[in-house]
Amino acid sequence: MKSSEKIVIIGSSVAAISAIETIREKNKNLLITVITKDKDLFYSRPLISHINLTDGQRYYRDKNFFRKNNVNLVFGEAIIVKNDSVILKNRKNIKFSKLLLAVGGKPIIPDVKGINGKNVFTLTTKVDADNIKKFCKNKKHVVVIGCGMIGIKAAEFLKCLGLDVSIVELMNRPFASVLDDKSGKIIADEIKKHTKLILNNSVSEIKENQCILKNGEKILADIVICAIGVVPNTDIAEKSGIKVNCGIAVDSQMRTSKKNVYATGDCVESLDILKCEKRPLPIWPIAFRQGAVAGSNIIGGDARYDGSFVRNSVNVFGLPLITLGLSNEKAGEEIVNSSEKLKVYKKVIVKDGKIIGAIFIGDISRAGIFTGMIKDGIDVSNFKNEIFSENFGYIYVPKEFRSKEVVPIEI
Amino acid sequence: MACRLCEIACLVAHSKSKKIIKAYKEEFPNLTPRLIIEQKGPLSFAIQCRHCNDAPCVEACVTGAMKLDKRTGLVSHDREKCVGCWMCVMSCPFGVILMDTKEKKVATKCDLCADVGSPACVDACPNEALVYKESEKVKKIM
Repeated sequence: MKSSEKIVIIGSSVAAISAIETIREKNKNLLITVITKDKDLFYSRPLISHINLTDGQRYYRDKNFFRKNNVNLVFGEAIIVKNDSVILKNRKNIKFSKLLLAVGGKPIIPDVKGINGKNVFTLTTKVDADNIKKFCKNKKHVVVIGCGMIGIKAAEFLKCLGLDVSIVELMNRPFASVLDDKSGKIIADEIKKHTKLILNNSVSEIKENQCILKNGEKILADIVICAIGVVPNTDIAEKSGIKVNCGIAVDSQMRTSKKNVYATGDCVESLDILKCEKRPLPIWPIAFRQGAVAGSNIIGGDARYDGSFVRNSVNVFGLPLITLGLSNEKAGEEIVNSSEKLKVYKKVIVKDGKIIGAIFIGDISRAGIFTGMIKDGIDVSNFKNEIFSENFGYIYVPKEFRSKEVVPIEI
Repeated sequence: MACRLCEIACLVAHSKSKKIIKAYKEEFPNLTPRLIIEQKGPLSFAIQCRHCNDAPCVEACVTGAMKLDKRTGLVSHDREKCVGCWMCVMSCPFGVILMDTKEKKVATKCDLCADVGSPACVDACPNEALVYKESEKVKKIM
């Protein structure tokens, strides 16, 4: 790339930061401009619901990150990409040679009466968290709609702020997309120790002080958090004529359908290597890796992103939960190890000899070995019955996949 | 041969006193070794953080506590920054990021004995099975 060229990045969370770090590792001088709506930079989005964090914990990178990396900052809302310019809401026009869309996801807002009320919030940015904190002073009851990743974090957040929390979930269990019935029940029982949990129900109307549920029941609600989930933010891409499917369409180099425009992170659709189809995989580590791939290619590299799978780790009121891949599909043999007394539930799903999904509750130690085995598509047929034995470990990874440094010669 | 001397050396090196008797008598239940000894049939090895160049734990860390120093190749973990979300535990394919749940719940891993100078497990290994060497990639950068 010539030094007169200008890189513009829309967004300032992990995908953008990862791209900037990758670019700056190779090139200290290229002009980089970041356009962002976030006034408070570098805070870690997954941690917005944590209270009592130190600044050191809350911020993913230090406050001087942009200055140290020689990045220009433009506060504003990007609306559309026209030719080789980004046009902002305030009509400002920013020219680019290469553009990266790292605009993340946006919360799903259901079509419910009263959803636009002053007492209804979503929780995906620090501004949301701050607004909720301000609003809930002197309030008593909160209803959280949805019991997934954001719902559980919202419930913990508001409970810490001293409110009485009710979670309303449409399905018969929390985290319904990744938990099976049995693990869902363990998590539901844990949640019920801390908040009210209403399953198999939904909110059909929101009023100033109450929610009316589908079955007619009324529950007190001074404040409502809508936490159904997020979808890729494709607003700019759609307006700009960039191809969008389930998310912004990108190739393995993170290039969109428009020349010189790249996209990464929660706003794109990625190849799910377990489902063998493209879909949004909106998780932090994937955004980080894709940001690095895009960063490298923007400055003329040839990095590739070959797909991944969904995985997540969350503490549910202190009970650790990890799910990997297609953890809720009845698609193969299930190997289960559980103890109700110890609040432990572990399950691995094996299809055609390979692990396609796993759930760990309570005991999550060394879960990463399974992540590695899924990624490498390792055949576990020979040792699948020993997966939950005490001696199980990296030693079971077949020789040809093991790092040579760990076991240089086998005796 | 799974003599576990490395495990003892690791514990002592990460104790306050750095003295074996004192560490075991006074601190032991609160110490977590940063390596794991695995055994299956005739094969055994000690495994600790590989300090990967494209470390999945660094990619997964939402606080920035897990960091890769591109110059030295060291993957370091900052206890003060860590919030115990276990994204790193979920991501490490070697399964060598452990959970220190004794006081503040945080991740813990091999730090190449930053306090001591050289990795205590390597110094303690009577069979020279554990080796500490600079990787070619780091050598090139330096």
